[in-house]
Amino acid sequence: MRRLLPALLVVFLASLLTTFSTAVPAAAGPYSACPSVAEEIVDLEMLTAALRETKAIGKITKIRLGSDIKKVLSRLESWHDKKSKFTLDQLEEQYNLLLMKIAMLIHDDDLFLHQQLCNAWAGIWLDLKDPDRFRQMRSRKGA
Amino acid sequence: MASAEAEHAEIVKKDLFAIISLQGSPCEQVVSYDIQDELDYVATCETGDRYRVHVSSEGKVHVNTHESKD
Repeated sequence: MRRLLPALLVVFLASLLTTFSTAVPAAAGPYSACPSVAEEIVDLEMLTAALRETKAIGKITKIRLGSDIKKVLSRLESWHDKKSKFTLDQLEEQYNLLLMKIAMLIHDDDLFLHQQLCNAWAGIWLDLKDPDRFRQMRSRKGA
Repeated sequence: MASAEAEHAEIVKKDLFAIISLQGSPCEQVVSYDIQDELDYVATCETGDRYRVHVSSEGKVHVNTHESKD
């Protein structure tokens, strides 16, 4: 029995290792594994400025995107003023679809900006839905 | 309230159409969509073609032909 114990211990430890190594990883949600970037985009103003600068998007598309961003901001402003016909969930979906369009446009030609966008995706939404942070952003813009 | 829902659905369809078009996939117009998960849609085009549009964990948007299971 004394000779068997070390062998049993080895078998036990090996089975433990197998269990942990084959454990199913947590589901990876959208933009949950963004590559880290040296310079982060922290708000919508930085994102719009970066979109203005990128060479991945043509002038006309930039104008269209600018208009789309303004529309989403205007709807959010109505929501913060309690005058919106859309719910916050609907506005979040509209925001996500806007960012999906942007991500699609820049991924192939400006990977760095795409990585910045990936990292900023959730944070910008938190800013937009927060009444105080939203008002601060609007007042900085002088709107 | 129903009209706001309809208006929202039109916005979603228009944006899904834009994303599918950016990918270069043929679609004249998105007529309906189903939500599979967070940032994961199946869009049906006027032609009957269906596309899965979703965002990966790295933030990349994928548009794939969706084969109907029914």
